[in-house]
Amino acid sequence: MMAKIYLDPERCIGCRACELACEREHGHPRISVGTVSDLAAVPLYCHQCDVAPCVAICYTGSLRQDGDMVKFDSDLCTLCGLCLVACPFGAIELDSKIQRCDLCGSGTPVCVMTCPAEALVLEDLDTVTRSTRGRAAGLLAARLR
Amino acid sequence: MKIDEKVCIGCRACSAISSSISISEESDVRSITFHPHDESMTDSLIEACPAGAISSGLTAESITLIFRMKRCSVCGEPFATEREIEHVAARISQMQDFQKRWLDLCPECRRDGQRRSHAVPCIRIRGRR
Repeated sequence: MMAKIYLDPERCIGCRACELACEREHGHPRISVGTVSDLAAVPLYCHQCDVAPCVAICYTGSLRQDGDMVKFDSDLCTLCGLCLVACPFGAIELDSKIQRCDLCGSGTPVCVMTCPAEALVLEDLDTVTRSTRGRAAGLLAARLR
Repeated sequence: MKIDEKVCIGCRACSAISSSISISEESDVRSITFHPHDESMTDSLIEACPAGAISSGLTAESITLIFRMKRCSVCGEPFATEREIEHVAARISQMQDFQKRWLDLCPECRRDGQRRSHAVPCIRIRGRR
């Protein structure tokens, strides 16, 4: 299983360092932080969907499923903009080209490297599920004590 | 090239590759103007069109197509042509287990909705403090 970027909203401090790092790396931020009711900050980025509407709509094969990731080939892209309409999460933008998280190719994505609160992690699903479950169980245990 | 206005969905593909096709947006409409141009481009335009609206043939005059924009059901901003939405909805309905409610929202409001749902546990705890 391939590692993806996962978020712990409880850890995010809303500093936007991930956005800046992403913009520095790619020329345009592919992650966007917003606050909710002044109580929480949530960065958003491509989920690398397993069943991806952007892949379903892309007629040139520019966006395609590759294992459990969505890969993008800009040479095939016609800039039609239909993937922006199809994405349920608003995670694709169009400036002079398609802007969408590609996990920085290989290695650790710069947003994960930069996040000072460790709210963003590059993990595989099993590891994230295990730690989330552990934390939830811990909270429940604390309440029951 | 010839353009079939009944089939064209008003996306950006052809205007992105040909300088003789211009696109502009004004509140509720997107206009695409096809100026007569070098026929050598036609093949790549046919290939680029997601709707199959372009075919070969000579046109001597400019033609402008007008598309109604869909407004976001939350913020009211126009974000795509109605035909683009129909085109995407038709493709996505072939996917299992997909509701299409998000197609009524602009990308910014889709992000907002998602942020709110991610933030629910935090707000439940922090709101009490």
